Amino acid sequence: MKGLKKLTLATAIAAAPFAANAELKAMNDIAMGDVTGQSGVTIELSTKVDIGEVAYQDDGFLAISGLSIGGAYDPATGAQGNLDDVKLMIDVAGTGGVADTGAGAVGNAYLEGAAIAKPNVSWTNTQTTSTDPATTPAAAANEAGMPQIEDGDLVIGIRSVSGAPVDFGVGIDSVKLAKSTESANLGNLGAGTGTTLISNFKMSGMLGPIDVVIQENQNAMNVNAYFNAQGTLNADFVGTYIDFKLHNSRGTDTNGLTIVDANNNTLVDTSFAHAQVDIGKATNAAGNDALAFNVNDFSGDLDLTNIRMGSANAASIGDVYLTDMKINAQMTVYGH
Amino acid sequence: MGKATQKHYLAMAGVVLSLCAGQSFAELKPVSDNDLSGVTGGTGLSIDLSSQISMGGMTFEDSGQAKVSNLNFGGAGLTTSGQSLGLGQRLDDLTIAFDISQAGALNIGFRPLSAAGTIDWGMSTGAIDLVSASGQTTRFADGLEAWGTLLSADFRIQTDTAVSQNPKQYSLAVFTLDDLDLISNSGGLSVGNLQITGTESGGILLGSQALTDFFGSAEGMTSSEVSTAVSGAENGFAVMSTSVGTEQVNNGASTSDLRTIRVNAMAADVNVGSMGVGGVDLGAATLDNLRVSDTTIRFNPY
Repeated sequence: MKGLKKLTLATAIAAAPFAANAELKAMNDIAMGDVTGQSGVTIELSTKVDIGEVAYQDDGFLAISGLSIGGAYDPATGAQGNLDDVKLMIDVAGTGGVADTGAGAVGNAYLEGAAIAKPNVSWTNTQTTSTDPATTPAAAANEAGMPQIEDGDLVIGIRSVSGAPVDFGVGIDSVKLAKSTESANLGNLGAGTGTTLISNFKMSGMLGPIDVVIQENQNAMNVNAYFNAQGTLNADFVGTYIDFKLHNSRGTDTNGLTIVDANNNTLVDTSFAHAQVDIGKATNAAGNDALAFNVNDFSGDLDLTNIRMGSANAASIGDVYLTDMKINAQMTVYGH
Repeated sequence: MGKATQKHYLAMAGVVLSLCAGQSFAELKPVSDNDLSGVTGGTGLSIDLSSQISMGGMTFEDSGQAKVSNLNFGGAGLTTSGQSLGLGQRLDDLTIAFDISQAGALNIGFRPLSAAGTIDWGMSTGAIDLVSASGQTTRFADGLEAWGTLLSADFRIQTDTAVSQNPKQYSLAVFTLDDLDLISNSGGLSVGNLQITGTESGGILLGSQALTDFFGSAEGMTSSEVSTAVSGAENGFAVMSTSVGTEQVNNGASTSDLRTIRVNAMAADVNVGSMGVGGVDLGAATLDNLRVSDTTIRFNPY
């Protein structure tokens, strides 16, 4: 409970610092006539978040124990650094649309622009509809669900300070079920005897451009994200243990980002899965308000390797490779 | 507020926001530590789903490879025969309910959105090939199409103080397979119009007493699952109860944990419209009142 109170407090305070970082200028009424707009807010972020337990109670509990969010896990030592090098650009667009935002472009168009502006960066994407990115950087075909940025839209662009993709890591010690009678152990449900759904989940990856657009005239948050991930997962309750890798380097739908240094040494050579998700309000079949969670696109290649059954130490039965996976899902979420 | 503190709070805010997004649908109530002992919990969560999944290819790699191209999962309209009936290509009219019981069991139920309806499902694939380590390819089939309906599917993941209780996951599916076609143009294995329906949808009828006795004696089925199974069968649906988990198996000198799938009870009529191998027609087959029980499959990697 102590932790929850702190989090609630953090929410309340969190809104305040946004204004503090903005380049606000004092101005009088006469000067206002010349104003063409402000420059938006940029936040550079370095963070590591560890949560001992996240417990969801329906009647019984579902407890996520040992949740950590930070930088990528060191493959040799297993140590996790900070989630750093993150740059958040927050703008409310004017009549100039996307040009009014800090990032200047969304998703694929941003990467095309970066590749043109910097000779050491190269970006290819078979999903792009742009015939000549030099003159007209374009959205990729799988970004079609993203709205055109218009006057009054709130735009949050997540980029990096360095220009290279941001590395991230997420770990979960266990996800367990617990009986309602175990409420006295809240905070330590992971030590109980309940069924373990998932354990030893460790995921590291890179974040490409992520854009969040809340339109001035729609009750929806539109998210467009390029990212990749790899890691390990134990699904204990069905006795299945796997390593996984999500990317987009195989098949007919591929993309690729490479960045080299001044001596032509490769700094980054990677590919990104893509997700375009709209979160908003919907009406369910019973006519009640509900949360709408629409996955307009989730695409990439998924490798499930070192698949073991029975125990994590068992011999691998082989690998499964899913190529050019595309998921489209409309979900309406509510209590019952 | 110092800069470091600001960053800290911003980071926390991000977490809180993402948590809020996940929890806003649940009926969360603020509770103090003292209140917690009196809490009886929230109402659980429903998701209405409409979805379609496609993959350019799926490869299973052991020493050689099994390759399937162009996989599609969604509604019955993905198949030729489902489409001719005017059925859509998306898996929709589906609501999924998640509940965690007081006993700590996670129950996941799939139901049609309209109480009187069923969920139509479908899948299709392109060519299925076997590839040797040296690159030699054998075409197993040119494609697979299957569709059917789902009346209900329930998954129950148990929590019990007996740690040895295994398997932990039980499922009960009440469904039909209306048409499965394994297509072989070049003379491999072919199957046409494979149907799986309920025992009471044709042939000799078992009757409700025999169905109740059969499902009632199945291991791992609760009494409400038995009545779901019986009424599903009486309405023309195939019924299958399975459980999945790990089991300790003694291999003489040593014991090892093996993944286990148990078929607790299955009852269906199976009709195969046509079968062929190498272009030779093997005719049709009908299995009336097929019942499987107490069957355990263990996966033993080597």
